Amino acid sequence: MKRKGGARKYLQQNFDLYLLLLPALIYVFIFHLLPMVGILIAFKDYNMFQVPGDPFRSILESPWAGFKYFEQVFKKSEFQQAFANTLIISLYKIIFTFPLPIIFAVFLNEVRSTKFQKGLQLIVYLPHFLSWVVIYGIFVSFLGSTGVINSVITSLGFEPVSFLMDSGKFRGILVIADAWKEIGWSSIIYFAAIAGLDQECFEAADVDGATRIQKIWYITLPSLLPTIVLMLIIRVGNIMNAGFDQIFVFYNPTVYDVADIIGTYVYRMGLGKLEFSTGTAVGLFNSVISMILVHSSNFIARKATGKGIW
Amino acid sequence: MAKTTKKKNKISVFDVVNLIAMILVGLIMLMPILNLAAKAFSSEGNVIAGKVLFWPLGLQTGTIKYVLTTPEFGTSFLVTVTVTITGTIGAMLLTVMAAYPLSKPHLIGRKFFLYIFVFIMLFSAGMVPNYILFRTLHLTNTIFALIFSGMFSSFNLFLIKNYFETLPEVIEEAARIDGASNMRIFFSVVLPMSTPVLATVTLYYAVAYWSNYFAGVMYITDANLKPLQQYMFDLVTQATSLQDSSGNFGDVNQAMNVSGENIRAATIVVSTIPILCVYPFLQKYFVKGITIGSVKG
Amino acid sequence: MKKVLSALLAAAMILSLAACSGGTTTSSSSSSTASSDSSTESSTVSSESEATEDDPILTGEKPELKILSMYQAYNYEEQPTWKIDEELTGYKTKWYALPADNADQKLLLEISSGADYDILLRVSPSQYAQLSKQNALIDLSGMLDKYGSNITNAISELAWQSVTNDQGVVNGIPHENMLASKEEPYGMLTGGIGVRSDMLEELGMELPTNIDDFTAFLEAAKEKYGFAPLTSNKSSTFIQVLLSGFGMGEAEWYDIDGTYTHRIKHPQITAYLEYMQKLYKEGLMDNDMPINTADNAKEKFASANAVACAPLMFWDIPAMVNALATNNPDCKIEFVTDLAADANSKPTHYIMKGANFVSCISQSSKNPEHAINWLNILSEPDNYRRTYIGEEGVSYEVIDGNYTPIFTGDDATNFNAYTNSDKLSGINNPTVSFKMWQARARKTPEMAEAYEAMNARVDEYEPLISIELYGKTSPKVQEYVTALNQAFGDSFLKAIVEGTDPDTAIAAMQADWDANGGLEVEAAMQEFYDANKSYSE
Repeated sequence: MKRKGGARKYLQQNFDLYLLLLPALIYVFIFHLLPMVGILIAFKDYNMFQVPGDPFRSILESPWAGFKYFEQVFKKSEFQQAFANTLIISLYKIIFTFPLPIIFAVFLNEVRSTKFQKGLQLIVYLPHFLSWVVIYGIFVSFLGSTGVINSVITSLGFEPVSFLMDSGKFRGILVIADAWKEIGWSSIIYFAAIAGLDQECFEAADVDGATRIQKIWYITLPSLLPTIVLMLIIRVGNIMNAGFDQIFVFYNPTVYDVADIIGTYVYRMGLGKLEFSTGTAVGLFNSVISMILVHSSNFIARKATGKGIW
Repeated sequence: MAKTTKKKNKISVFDVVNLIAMILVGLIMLMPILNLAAKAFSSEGNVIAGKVLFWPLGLQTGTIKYVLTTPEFGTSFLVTVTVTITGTIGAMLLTVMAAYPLSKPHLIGRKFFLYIFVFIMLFSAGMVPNYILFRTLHLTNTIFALIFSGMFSSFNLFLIKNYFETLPEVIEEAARIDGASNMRIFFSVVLPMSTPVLATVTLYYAVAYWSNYFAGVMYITDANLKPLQQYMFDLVTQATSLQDSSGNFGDVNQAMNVSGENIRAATIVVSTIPILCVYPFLQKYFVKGITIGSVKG
Repeated sequence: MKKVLSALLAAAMILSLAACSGGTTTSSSSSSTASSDSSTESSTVSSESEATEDDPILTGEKPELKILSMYQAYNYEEQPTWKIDEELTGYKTKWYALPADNADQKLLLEISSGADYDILLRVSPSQYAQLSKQNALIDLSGMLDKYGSNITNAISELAWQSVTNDQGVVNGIPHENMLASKEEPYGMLTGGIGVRSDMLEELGMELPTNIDDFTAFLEAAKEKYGFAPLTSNKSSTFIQVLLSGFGMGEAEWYDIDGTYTHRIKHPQITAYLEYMQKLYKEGLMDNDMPINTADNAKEKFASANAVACAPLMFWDIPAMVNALATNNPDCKIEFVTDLAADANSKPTHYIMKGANFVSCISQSSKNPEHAINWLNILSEPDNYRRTYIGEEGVSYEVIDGNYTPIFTGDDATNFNAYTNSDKLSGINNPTVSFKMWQARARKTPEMAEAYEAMNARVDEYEPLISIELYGKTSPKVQEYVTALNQAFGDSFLKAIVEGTDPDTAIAAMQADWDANGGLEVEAAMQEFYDANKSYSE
């Protein structure tokens, strides 16, 4: 119906749509695409002072290094361990913490009192605003050998557990802490989606005598699906980010074997060295992996639900 | 009709169990904040001795007053409030305006544009090029550096776009048949129907601006423009690590002036409360059934 | 109609983008581009001629100086000393601060893109080394001769050497650490392992002074109370007080028969590891040590769930006294200071000579001479005293030769006004300023008492001088040493917790050290030590 009149008619009808798009494109061009030239740093022996006073030309005129910095990092055996840890911790977080906000939002929606719903929403997102340093302090006093949890364990006659120094448990602690911090915050988007649902469907279902669970399963969840798919694709694309801030604060040398991720490893390796090229190379590597994952998951989503994110 | 309402009001086992579970979740989430708030109002001795749990011991308001009257806190607070308000408005304009055309399947070039936004979500240039850009634009050490940094998020764009796509096509079509232009449909039909997602994204942007710590680190050296997050970092995180290493040789003067645990708690509390107040205001836009209202209006 | 509206809306957005970036141009751009060449020019001109009466730098108009300094939670310009600085020097100053995080990267980015700070005040030695390596700094020697007499007088020969390169170019001004000296060691002890006096009394024991007594003390405490008596935090792998029992201490480098040796290769390091493993395994030391924050450790100590806490410094006293009072108002804190190896030997304590900060001037500075002149005026001894601790009789007084703070009167002029003054003062003889610094140690009666009590034992000590901090500023050392020390500390902590055989563990750490640049670091440190050995005597 819209394209019948040829290009001129199309433009006439739609030029305002392009105008709406323009400011964002300009912003993105200036603040995101232009600086991408700097990715060259990953392939150069970048010296900031190559051209004194002109950092941009310093990037261009620094000597080429090829894949030297990639090799340097990837060759180390610790890197492979860190890479594996990154994927494992991220996967754990996706598997265990991704569904929680959805479940939470759906069940909170089932509570009768709207006031209670709103009040609880305001409470559960509070931990999101605390920094990991503060949260770590709380976790240590809970999980330490004389902490609350261990007091309970020992009073029941068991040996105290060193949660934060046990390679077998540490990743679990990371996932739990992350879930605790972010459930409320991540569920906001689902609250919003549920709020936008058409009430008539529910009323019709009521008339048909549907149970609560049936309504959740056949109405609420399917209508949340587009949001869930979007969130999942983006979360999967973010897989190389296993939570540097959190792990950097939480880990200690006794759990390096299970907790050292690429970010923390590169940080420790580069201490005192200011290696911009290495940092950029690792960032680029992460981005490429993310891109592959986002493309594949978008492809799968399109096959499975008929709709990807682009 | 009367029958269904009656059924709705019957309280089942499910309701009770669900409510109890929700209350438990709420308590678990509330504890640390209560703990921090209690510390902020307790005497320092009780805080250090670890006696303060969820209720202040040795109640006093001196710590909070001290934090609030610190000039650095006031400066940073104003900077962050300004940046959050202007930044969120700008970001919402950019994002909402871009999301609408991208939600139209017939738009030529849509895939290409969408792909650009996916691309910038995955690839980032990193610290050095961004700094160079901001410096070249003469944005460093200005408040605009804080505003322009993070004024667009592809993720938020996709959220809004996604939501626009779920709106019933019939309403738009009806308006179009009535002779409404794209713009009129956008403003009077699409936007009013989208308040839940608009409220969510506003919250996302506002919180992102409020907690943007990196922009200050990267682009600001003038203490009069130091954002609140950075102030908090200097006072809380840095103090914690300084304290941890105070046995090793270092800057003794610096180590001596590290702020106490209660001051740190109070700073966290007073710099977090304002942003917490945004959500309750936005919650009222999480309204069910607004779709129906907009058709009639 | 609506299309026009949307066009306007879009145009407005674009305009505002452009306007914001354009509008600021006028305010900040004028400086950055033109500055780099003019500064080098003026610096060469001024160093040629002798300072005269009508030198424009000294008598002419004084420009506003842009100062880039280290991060602080406070704003420099909110400090009372900021105004005093202006009054004394006649220079208006605008202060900027690096962030706490990523400070090194940020500084390099700023300087490499030609930011026109007039002086980089108090950057870290490693930042200084980076900038100096990149030739981003100007040679200060001529300017210091002309305008920097107070600065040059205050700084020791060794410190000057650390900022002078092979060609005799001086790129930085070292800020020497305030220190006690071998001749006057009083005050050199600032902390150690804090012990609860009530429990010490209950145990009926004296404060331990050697490592065997200390072990016995912990064992007795464990026996009596059941819990781990010594608590500490995650960065206390190397506890100085205990290290001194094994011939080491705060220093990382030791002269072993003429070889300058890092702790990792010290003959006694295995014994120290074994000792720590014993403390950990037998529950004499808190098994949460690797995860505790300083707050967690202090909490255990203050709530009587530990007898001793490492480290505790005298400045922790005022807060700790309040915390202890919540349990037992009569409890005080006694300090175990550096321990002797056994009952017959003398304990040692290292005085760590060094400069935690270096000031320097980048090539893009517009007013290098004025910056030196400014710092020089602040470094005049009387001015230094004025900025650092204020006025006698108003903010401090001298009692029995000891600087003592005054807290009566207005907070804007009494000692409280000088809490952060150290970062806004000039350069002074480190031994003299150490005495002034002691006024801070006497801030509260409890603090003064603790400080004096621990230093009452200072005569029993053999003070040793370590100069390693100056050696560590060399670029070769800087390149590897941070990562190496981190790796060493991590492996050591792991070995303590896991109880690995000490010999095997240390051998593995040494192999790791050698493979990752440790040998280069050793060579550089040895070279430094051979040249400067005499300063550590």
